[in-house]
Amino acid sequence: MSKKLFLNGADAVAEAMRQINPDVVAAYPITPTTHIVEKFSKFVADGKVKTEFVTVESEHSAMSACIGASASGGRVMTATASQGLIYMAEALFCASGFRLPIVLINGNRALSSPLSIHTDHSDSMAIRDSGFVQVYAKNAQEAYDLTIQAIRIAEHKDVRTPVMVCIEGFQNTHTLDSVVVEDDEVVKKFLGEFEPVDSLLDIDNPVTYGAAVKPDFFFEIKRQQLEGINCAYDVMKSVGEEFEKITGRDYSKVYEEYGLEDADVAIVLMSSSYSTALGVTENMRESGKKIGLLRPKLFRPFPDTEIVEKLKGLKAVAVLDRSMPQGAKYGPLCTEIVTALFNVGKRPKVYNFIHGIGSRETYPSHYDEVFEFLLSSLDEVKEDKLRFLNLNE
Amino acid sequence: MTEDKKTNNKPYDASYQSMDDIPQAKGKKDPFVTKSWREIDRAGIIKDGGNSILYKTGNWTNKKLNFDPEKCINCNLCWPVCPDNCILVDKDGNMKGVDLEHCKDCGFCVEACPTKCLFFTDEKNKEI
Repeated sequence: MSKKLFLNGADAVAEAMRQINPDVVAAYPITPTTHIVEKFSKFVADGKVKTEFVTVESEHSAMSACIGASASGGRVMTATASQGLIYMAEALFCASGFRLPIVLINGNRALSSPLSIHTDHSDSMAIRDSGFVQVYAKNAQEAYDLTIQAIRIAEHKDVRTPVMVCIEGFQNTHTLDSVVVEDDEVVKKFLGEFEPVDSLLDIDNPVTYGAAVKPDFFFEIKRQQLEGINCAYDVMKSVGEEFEKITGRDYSKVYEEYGLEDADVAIVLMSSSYSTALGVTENMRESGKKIGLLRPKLFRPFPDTEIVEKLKGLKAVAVLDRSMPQGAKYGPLCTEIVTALFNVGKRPKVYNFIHGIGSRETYPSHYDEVFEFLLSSLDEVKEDKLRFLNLNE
Repeated sequence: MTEDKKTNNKPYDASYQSMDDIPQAKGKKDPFVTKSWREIDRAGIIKDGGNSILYKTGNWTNKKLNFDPEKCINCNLCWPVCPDNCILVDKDGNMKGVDLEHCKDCGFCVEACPTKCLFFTDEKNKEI
């Protein structure tokens, strides 16, 4: 029987990791994901999992140990955030290039300098082209659910690509929430038996990892890798549908939407901000305003076809990015959406807002403000520039 | 190019003529034939060990290694210094020539040879 527990996001992820029972976890503590590994190391010490827990001296070593363990045929997980993720960066590209199904939990946190332990998406956005599948959770429940599904997505034979589950630091990791935790046996059955592929420890079928590749093959191998990550799009949907059957929670789509069917304007955003924006949207729709909301759960591979399908009929869209696009025209999410819409005949006007940098609050009034801006832009087209929410001008 | 008729510019005659002659390569597919990205092994993982002999590197050279069997005293000092196993010595320890398909003109054997029977000429190795 599933049970409803009062957990914060990090504890929910640790609970998922206990049920997954990976062969190896190599991690280095960093705020705000410290207590994921802290709680998990207690499970190891208490004998609740059979995991080999490797305490390493840095995040670079953590991912390197994960690569070694995964290439040796283990089910491998790790957790990190911010500076730790960036310190891992070199090894992240190796993990995805080797096509190792490692699952990484990233607690989104701003990057130094100035030093901040609070949330924004600049860490995971900085390595968005590292070849990891990236999913963004909105709350503790989704963090728990996506962690379990991430194992299945990463290990799928057509994907074989590492997955990064992004949960927002403090907003998700430290905030108590009611979380439905499935039965251990149900999760075990859903995940199935792990079957190693091209394992270094399979001495009857020896393989070489990490050989140098010259120009005659490098391009082809990278093209093959692209196919792997792109397959994650369909696999996430089929794994989600299967997960929905056993839990009743809707994971059949790689996005979440509200009110788009008859909306003129919409906000697109990711992660925990969706919940606040949803309340605002519901209230404003009651007063007859034709507005909607869209939240992509999957960012890499970017689900451009479905996003275009959802947005092309609208008149104006505001994309709320939660990372600072230093030197770029738009933030990363807006760039993706503008690119996806570019070749569509009739497309909405797109405006980009930056919000929530270093956990700057975005209050309901700010979503009000954005919707009013969008509605007024229908009469008079606004200037195409980067805008900021709740910034002291 | 020297006009010395004694100079052996060809790879050792008893050397392999095709992939089937290479013991390590027997029954294996040549991994170095250009293939579609759909067909190659995932992530550049190498599943057939000992296949570096199939990769011919002789055309990397700027100079060509020559062997003069008249001067050779079969001391075999060249054999252990070659990083690419290009010194062809038969079972009885007789120096038979050099493998120009894999020689990268590093010159270690030229340095090691006490009789200067191994020497370079200024021309591109055209054996490959």
